[in-house]
This record gives sequence, C-alpha cells and structure tokens, in this order.
Amino acid sequence: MASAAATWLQFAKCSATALAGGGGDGLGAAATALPADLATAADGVAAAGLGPLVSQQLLAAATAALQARLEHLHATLSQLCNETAGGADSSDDEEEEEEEEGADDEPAGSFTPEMEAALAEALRDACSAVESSAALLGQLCERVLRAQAALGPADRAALLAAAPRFRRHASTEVVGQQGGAAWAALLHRYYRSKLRQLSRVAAARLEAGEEEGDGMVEGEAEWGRDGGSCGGLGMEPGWARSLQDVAAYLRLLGLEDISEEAFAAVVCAHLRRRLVARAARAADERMLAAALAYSTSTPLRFLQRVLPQGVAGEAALAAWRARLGYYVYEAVGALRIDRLFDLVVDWPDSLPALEDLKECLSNTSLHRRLVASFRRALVDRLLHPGAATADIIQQYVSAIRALEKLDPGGALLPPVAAPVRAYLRQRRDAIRCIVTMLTADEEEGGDGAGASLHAELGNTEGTGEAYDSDFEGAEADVAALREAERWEPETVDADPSPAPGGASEGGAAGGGDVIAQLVGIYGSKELFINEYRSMLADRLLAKGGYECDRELRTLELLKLRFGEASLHGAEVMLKDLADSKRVNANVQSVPNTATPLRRRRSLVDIGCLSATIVSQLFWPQLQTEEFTPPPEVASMLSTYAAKYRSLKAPRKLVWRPALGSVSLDLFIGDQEKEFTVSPLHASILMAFQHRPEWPAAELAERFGVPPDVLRRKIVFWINQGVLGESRAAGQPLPTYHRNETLQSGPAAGGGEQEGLMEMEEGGAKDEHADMAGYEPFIVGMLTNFDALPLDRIHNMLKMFANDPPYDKSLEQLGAYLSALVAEERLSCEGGLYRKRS
Amino acid sequence: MTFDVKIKKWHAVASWTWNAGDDVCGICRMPFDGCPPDGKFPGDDSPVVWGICTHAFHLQCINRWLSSQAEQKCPFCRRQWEFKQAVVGGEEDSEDGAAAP
Repeated sequence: MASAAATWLQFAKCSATALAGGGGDGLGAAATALPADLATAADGVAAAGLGPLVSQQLLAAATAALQARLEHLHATLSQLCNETAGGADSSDDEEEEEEEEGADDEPAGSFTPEMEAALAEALRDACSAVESSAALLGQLCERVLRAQAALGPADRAALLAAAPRFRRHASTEVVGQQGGAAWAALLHRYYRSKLRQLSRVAAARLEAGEEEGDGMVEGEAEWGRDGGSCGGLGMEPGWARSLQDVAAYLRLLGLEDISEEAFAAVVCAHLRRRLVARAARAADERMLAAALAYSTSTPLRFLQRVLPQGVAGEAALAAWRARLGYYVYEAVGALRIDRLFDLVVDWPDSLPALEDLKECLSNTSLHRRLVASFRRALVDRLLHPGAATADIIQQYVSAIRALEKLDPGGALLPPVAAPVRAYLRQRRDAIRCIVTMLTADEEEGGDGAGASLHAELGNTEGTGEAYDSDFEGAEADVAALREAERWEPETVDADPSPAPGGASEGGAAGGGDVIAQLVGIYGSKELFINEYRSMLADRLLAKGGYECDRELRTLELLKLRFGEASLHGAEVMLKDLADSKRVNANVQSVPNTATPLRRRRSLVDIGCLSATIVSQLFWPQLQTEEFTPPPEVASMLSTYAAKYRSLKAPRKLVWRPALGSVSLDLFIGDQEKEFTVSPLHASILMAFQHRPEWPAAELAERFGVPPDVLRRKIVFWINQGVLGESRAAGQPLPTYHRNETLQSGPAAGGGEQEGLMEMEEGGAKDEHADMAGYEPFIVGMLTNFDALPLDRIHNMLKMFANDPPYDKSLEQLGAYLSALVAEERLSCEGGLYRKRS
Repeated sequence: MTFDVKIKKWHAVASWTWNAGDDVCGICRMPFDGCPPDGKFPGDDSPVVWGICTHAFHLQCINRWLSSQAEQKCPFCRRQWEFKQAVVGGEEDSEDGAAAP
C-alpha cells in the first residue's frame, strides 16, 4: 500500500510541475509526448490501480496551476478596464459626434494600439496556458486509460471527460472575479475601437477614391472582389490579424457568448448611428438602398474577422448578412416612423423617405408601431385648438396620400385617421374649409392647398367608376386579368384596436380617395353640397359680371363625384348666370321707344346697369338686408324691369337692391378715385353728391336702414377719407359730412380696388365695437356658469341685457365671440365658451 | 370744390317670378317658380300658363294632363281649358311700381 501511496505522490508532484510549467509554448505545438518522468508516474499510478482517482486529482491540479498563470491576464484585464473605463459613461455621446465628423481625436475609453497589444498578449498567454494544460491532461488521462484496462465505465468516462471539463473550468476561471460584465464592457470597447478604425479607413479611402460617394455607398462590388484578404482595404494588415486573433482566443477560452454579444451590440450601434445621422440629414432622398449596401460593407468586413474562419464562419457570415439587412430595415423604418408627421408635412417632397418606409414595412412588421406613433403625433401636434382648420385638413389630406403610398391596401389609414375625423367633426368651420379648398382657384389661392385639392377633384374621376363597370366583349379577359394582378393581400395587423363605431366609414371609402375621405367625415354629402351652394352663391353674386367658366368646370367635376341630382341647384345657379348674360344683352337692346313701353312715365338710360337674375328657389337664402336705392338708381331699375317684362311677360323682376356691386369714379377736390363697392355704399356716396351734410337718422331713413347698419357701411368712406363724422354734444347719433378734399383717413391709402374687401373688414370691426357693450354681461355669465353654448348666451343676453338693449342676431354674437376667442379673452371648445383664466 | 360721383357700372341682382303668387302648381305641387318633376330648369324651360279660367299650371303639367284626358278641361274647375293669351302692357305699370320700389 505504501508503494501505491508513494507512486501516487510521485505522480501528483510530477503532474503539478508539468502543468505549472506550461508544457512548452502550448498553442498549436502542444506537447507531442509526455515528459518521461510523468509518463512513468502515470504508468505507476495505473499499475497501482489508482486510475479512478486520476481525473479528479488532475483537474484540481490543472485548475490551480491555471489560476496562477491567469494572474497576468486578470491583471491586464483590470488595468485595461481602469484605463478605458474613465470616459466610458460619456463615450456614447461623444461617439456620435466623432463618427459624424470623422474627427481624429479618440474619445476617452477607446483603445490605444498598446492596449490592444496588451489585451491580445494576455489573451494569448491565457490561451496557451489553457491549451497546454488541456493537452497535457488529455494525454495523461489517455495514458492512464490505456495502462489500466480494467476500469469501470464510470471511471473511463470520467477520464475521457477530464480535458473538456477542464476547459469549462478554465473559462470560468478566465472570467474570474471581475465577472462577465467587466469582460463584456471591455470587449465592447475593444470591438468598438476596432470597428471605428475600420470605418475611418474606409471613409478616408472613399473620400480619396470616389468623391461622389457619401460614406454609405461603399461598393458591394469592392467587398466581393476583396473577398477574404484585407489588403485591398488599405488597412494595415496588423488590424485584421490582431482582431482575428483576439476573437479566436476568446473562442478558445470559451468566451464566445460574451464576445458575440459584445460585437453584435457594437455593430448594431455603429449601424444605427450611421442611419440616424443619415436620416436626420435628408428626407428628400432615399437612403434605404445605400444603407443596405453599407451594412454589407464595413460591418460585414468587420464581422468576417471576428467570426470563425472556414466553413462555419461562412455560414455565420451569411446569417449575419441577413441579420444586418433586417436590422437596417427595422432601424430605417423606425427612424422614418418617428418622423412620419414631419414627412407628411413635407409631402410630396418627402416622397423618397416614404418609399424607404414602404419598403421597410414590407420587410418588417412595423405597421402597428407606425399606427400608434403617427396617431400620437397627430393628436399631440395637430389636433389642438392652436391649429388652423385649413392646416388640419391639409395635413389630413397629405396623410391620406402618404399612407396610400405606404400601404396601397388602405389598412393603415382608418386607425390613423379616426382621431382626425372625430376632431374635424367638432370644428364648425371644417366644412367651409373643405369646400373652399375643393373649389378654390389655382390662381387666387396662394397657399397651394386649395389648388391641390381642386386637382384631386379632377384626377380621381378615372379611378372611381372605371373598375366597377362590367367587363364585356373581347377585352373582358384582359381586364379581369389586370384586375387580378392588382390584388394584394390586406395588411391585417395594422390596427391594434378595432375602430370605435366606424369600422366601415373609412375603410369602405378606399384608401386614396381624398375627397371621399373628407366628405366621409360627416357621413353624408348633403352638408357639403349645401355649403358649396352657399359659397357658390356668394361668389357668383360678388362677381359683378357673368364669367363663370371656372365654376362650371368645378361643377362638372363635382357632378361626376356626387351625382347630377344632388347638384341640380348649383347647376341652375350657373345657368342663371348664363341666362342673365343673354337677357341682359336683350334688355339693353330694347329701345325706350318700343311699343309696349311707350306709355311709361319715365324711361331712363340704363347703359351702365346690368343685372344678375336669379331663380330664387334654387339659390340659398339670399342676404335679406334691403334698402331703398336713390331715385336715379330706382328709375334705372324700374326701366330695366319694364324692359325685362316686355321680353319675358308674364314674368317680372324683384330687385335685391343690397346685392351686386358698383364701380364708380369719385371726383373729390382735385383728385379722382376709383372704387368698386356694394350698392349701399355707392348710394350713400350719391346722397352726399347733392347735400354736403346728413344727420345719421335722416340718412338712415332715406335708405330705409337702421342707423347702426348705416354706420357700419359709412365707416368705409370715413376710412377712405371721403366722408367725415361729427357728433354734437348730447346727440345720440352723429352727423356725417363730405370732405372737400380727400383726407388721409385712418385706413386711407388702401388700394381702391380692394374697397369691397376693406368694406367688409371695416364693417366687421365696427360691428365688434358695437358689441363691446355686451362684453361685461358675457364675462359675468361665463363666470357664473363656467361654460355656455352660443345659443344660451344669446338667449340670456336677450333676457337680461337692457343697457344697451340687445338686438343682435345669433350670427353676430357668434362672430363677436369668435373675435373674443381670437383675442384670447374667451376659449371655445366643443361649442362651449369659457372664460380664459 | 367738387364732390362728384360718377357711376360707371351698376351691377344689380334681381330674382324673377312668374307672378303667379307664392302658390304651387296644382298638378305637380311644385312651386311655379321652380320646375315640374320632369323639367330640368326653371324659368324659360318650365313656363307657367294660365287658362281662361285663371287657373295656372306649368305648361308641361297641363299638357300632360290634357293629353291624358278625352276632354280638354281644367283639372280644377272642369271648365273647358283654353290658354289665355299672355297679357303685355295694361296692368304692367302698377306691377312694376310694386316690383321695383
């Protein structure tokens, strides 16, 4: 027994020495033969039948020896950690700048060549220690196994497994006390610095080589040509060598997982930074293709070094190529989605970015994210009281078009549009805005919004009906085939939640039909058509002429969309204009001496009078404000009516004196001015032709209008410096007088041709001045009741406001309240007015 | 000092009426100033006619009525239907006074 113990001790001693000594240089050149003494000792142990104990003993000895030999590695590791960790926290921020500018100064926390060398050296040592120990271990166990043939299966297994077990122990040891986190951080920094070097060289090379390239387009061709060699890269060969070695050492040391995690993070971060910088720069050019090309250049080159060489490496590289591609799709998609609101604002300049996004969407599943994020952006940035209705509509229209581009199936739109539509329904001026945009002149609308919508009206006619028609004849098959080819599966997962209440409202309308979408907000076209008619009426009556070609064109387009029957009224209106033109010509050509007129008392020259004759029932309620025109005008009107009657009996005319427009020349002092104004304005001026001064009451009575209406009109002339106003003490109403020369009134100098518009503005302002007396009532009311709708304010004013007595219409009050809202004295939400705190 | 206003062009707005009261056509129940169901435009395209019995209808309406009847009778009073000649002049002066005050 004693000899067995001696043999064992001898063996233990020998093996420990051998393990500690390292058995030569280890790597590759693993000891081909056991040292003689160790071999003898092993044989002895086997002869003594101690084989079962060997594996345990050897493992312990090898681990102990390894610990000693790893001290160097750990020392290096902690030193490197300390050296590089200094700026590690801030390095991420700095990196971006560094990356973008390509600056040369290394940010804190990066590796110097010496440090890289130290790391490689330490890893190499550790590797050689592990390898040599493992080799020794394997040989010893094998020898024991061979010498002692009669071993139990369990013991044999233990002996065979000794070397692999040692390797596992070794990797735990290598990770050491610092733990995996420290390794991960260090490797992260190491890989980052290596990748940065590569990318910098690549960028520099690109700059030197092809000026037109922009850092993204490092040709794939080049990459393919270079293949495995790194020489073509212009990188010093050491770069690839050392990187490859470090990665290989790490694999040998069993740190593959940590290493892979680290370089995956580095590569993705690198790519992402690239993409972010790029995406921020330009929305008006495509970046996806360049990004994909880039992902296969620098990052893949880097990965090729890091991943194992050979067949396994090829497979891993291919997997990484796909992974990077997907990563690019996802990252670009996410970046574009985050900026989707701005992209929609910039529509159609942002088309390239949207095409990128479309491609990303088709390769990833970002739909849900898009819907959620865009919806949030819309609600946060658009759907609040600060946004003008026209802007909201414009953005909505752009969104419809953009989403149509992104997803022709139209599944994205309804969930995104739902909040916009709900919000627009609350805005009272939304309809008017939409109609204005639909019918606005290209020429007059400076904002371009109306023009684009009007164009929409024209170009959708082809899309709507054409495909619904039944296919017939020889072309049927071709058409059906084309139809079938256009089919695309619906994007199903776009909407996280079913649209509340209105699943069909948006979806059924079809994605890109902007007008259907807009009209669909209100569920019916009636509202739109009524609004259209009232705007058409305003427009036609303000013309002072018969030109309506453009309106006719718009009407034809609207008829295509809404159907002829619903636009019958508008059609009659336009026909009235055309008829008026003809009738006017006829009336003018009837001589005053014509038979049926001969008996008339007073026939005057009507050369300067023209008329628009409307079919009253087909026009919206015409302005009811009437007045008595001055006699000279009245006689012209009655002459005109008589001639009309002579042509069209038994029909007759009913004049609407307040409507229409008058162009006149005013000679005042030594000046001559030209105006285009409303009939009442002109009549007022004519009154002063014969009498220099009119008391307000008398003048109002002459025209049969209330003094406040008169004042509202006369303010225009006062502003023009044509008339003046004086108020005697104690008199409730002022006296108006004409100026002998043109005074520079408050608003004098405004263009004469814009008189009509200024008149309206002046009138409106004045009206508000009129209403100002009620402000205390309104404010008091809103203090007591918190929030009130318009009609209740109106009714309460009627009941309680005595001084001054309340005689305004609901519309006037509404206009005044909106003026107060505009002045930020009140707020209005959902039709309820509140006091602003 | 001069203060002279010269009207260059006065564009007025008027509405026309058949002067048949605010009533509706007794056949189609549409306003006289509107158009009958099969008429597209009011006014010249949908004239109103009077019979000698002073009842008024849209021309289209009474024509259809008469062509569907064996006897030419006013659908209201059953008197023989005859178109009343359009009257020009005469009452016109007073009417114009009312229409263009």
